[in-house]
Amino acid sequence: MSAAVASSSGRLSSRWRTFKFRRRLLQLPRRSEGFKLLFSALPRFVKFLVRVTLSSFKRNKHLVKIFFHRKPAAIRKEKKERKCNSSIANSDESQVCTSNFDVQLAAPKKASSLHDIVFPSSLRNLSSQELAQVILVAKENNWDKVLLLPNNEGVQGQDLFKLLQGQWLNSDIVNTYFSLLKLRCDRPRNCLQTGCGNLKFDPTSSGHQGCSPSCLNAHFFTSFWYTKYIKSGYYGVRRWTRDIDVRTYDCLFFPVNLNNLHWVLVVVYIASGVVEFYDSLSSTSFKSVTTTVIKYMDEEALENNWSSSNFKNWKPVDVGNAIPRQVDSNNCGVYMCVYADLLSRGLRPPFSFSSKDISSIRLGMAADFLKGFVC
Amino acid sequence: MAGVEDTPTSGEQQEKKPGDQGQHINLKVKGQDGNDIFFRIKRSTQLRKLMNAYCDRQSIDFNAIAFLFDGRRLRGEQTPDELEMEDGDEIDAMLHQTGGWAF
Repeated sequence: MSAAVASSSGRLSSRWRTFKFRRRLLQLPRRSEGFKLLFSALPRFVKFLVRVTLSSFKRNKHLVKIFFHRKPAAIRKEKKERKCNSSIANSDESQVCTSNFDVQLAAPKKASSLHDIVFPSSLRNLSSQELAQVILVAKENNWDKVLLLPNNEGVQGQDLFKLLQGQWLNSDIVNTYFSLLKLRCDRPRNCLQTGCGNLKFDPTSSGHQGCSPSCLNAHFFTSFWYTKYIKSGYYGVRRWTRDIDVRTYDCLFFPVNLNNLHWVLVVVYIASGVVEFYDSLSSTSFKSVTTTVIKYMDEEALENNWSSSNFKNWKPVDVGNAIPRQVDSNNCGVYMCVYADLLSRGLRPPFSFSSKDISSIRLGMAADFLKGFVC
Repeated sequence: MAGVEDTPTSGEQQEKKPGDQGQHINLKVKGQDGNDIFFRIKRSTQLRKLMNAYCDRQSIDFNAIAFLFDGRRLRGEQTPDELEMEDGDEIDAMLHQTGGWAF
């Protein structure tokens, strides 16, 4: 019996020795090449199948992301809180809710209960129809004009593709989104009350009499304004405001592109003379950008003979740490759009969104572009 | 480029007959590098012709540039008549911007 075992083990060890010898002969590294060796031994059609599935996964990474996208973190928190509230109502257990206290802290200033917390309008659960549309665009990179607004701003399929893939935002996306925000600010009140799904607003109806009380009476400059003003001074942009009187607005939004690398937002509150600077990174451009905008406001005031009472003391404010900031290297445009969205609704920082929500916000923005309006 | 005559030098402008002043219009396209190019087109011609001529001249891709008139985007199908442009008006040719992160 024992002799048989010894002989079998001897056979095994001899096989192992020959295998080791062959491996040395082939000069293969021990583990890393093992899979390749195994793969080469597979039949040809199995190899083909494996290759095709792997490559399709690589190519459609963004689609995989969309299919498995999680609900926005803020909305998850809200749901949790609602559950909590209902459980409190049932059993009066105050301990259950301790984990959600930070939500209330992060809420905008007037939020007394959780239902008052306002999220960015692009941060929402998309309906299945919207999601299907977005996926359709994400699949095909060759869409022509997806959206063309009355002011000739618009996005193409490739822009939406960039938006969904998490790439840097270009001036088309930024300017079109800001135009959508402008349309929302100009939208008559009764349309806002009919709800998001049944909006029949007429872009030709102008004037701010019917403007929603929650939306500020705001003007949005294009992102080319800063570049042009830097290059050719006030004379270059003098005619850009010839159809409007800047003083009639509550606030002015300036999207600013710095060196084709970074997006920051400057907001001018006309009545209080405050120039706020929103930067999703702690960059060093606060002083130069705000000084430029203040200089422009001064020149605009001089040109239009405003009374000299309010424009002498424009006050630059760096909002700094009060806002959610980016932790990655490609989302500053998205942050800027969300700041503008929240501020134009009259909200003040701190804002209730975080870096976890950015992919959901990008999806929401794409859905907004496909619909042609922001809720 | 039929219909579009670009006149980079100011001397050529004087050769134009005064008779077709009513139909034609002189437009200046100002690039981001500060170079101006003058175009003379019919008031009823679509601006696409001017845009294409400018892009050819500067050898830039059509999609890489945004044309602005008084800060507003121009579409290729618009005409000077439609926009109520006047003689000597300036069109800005701005390169598209992008951004995501700065050091």
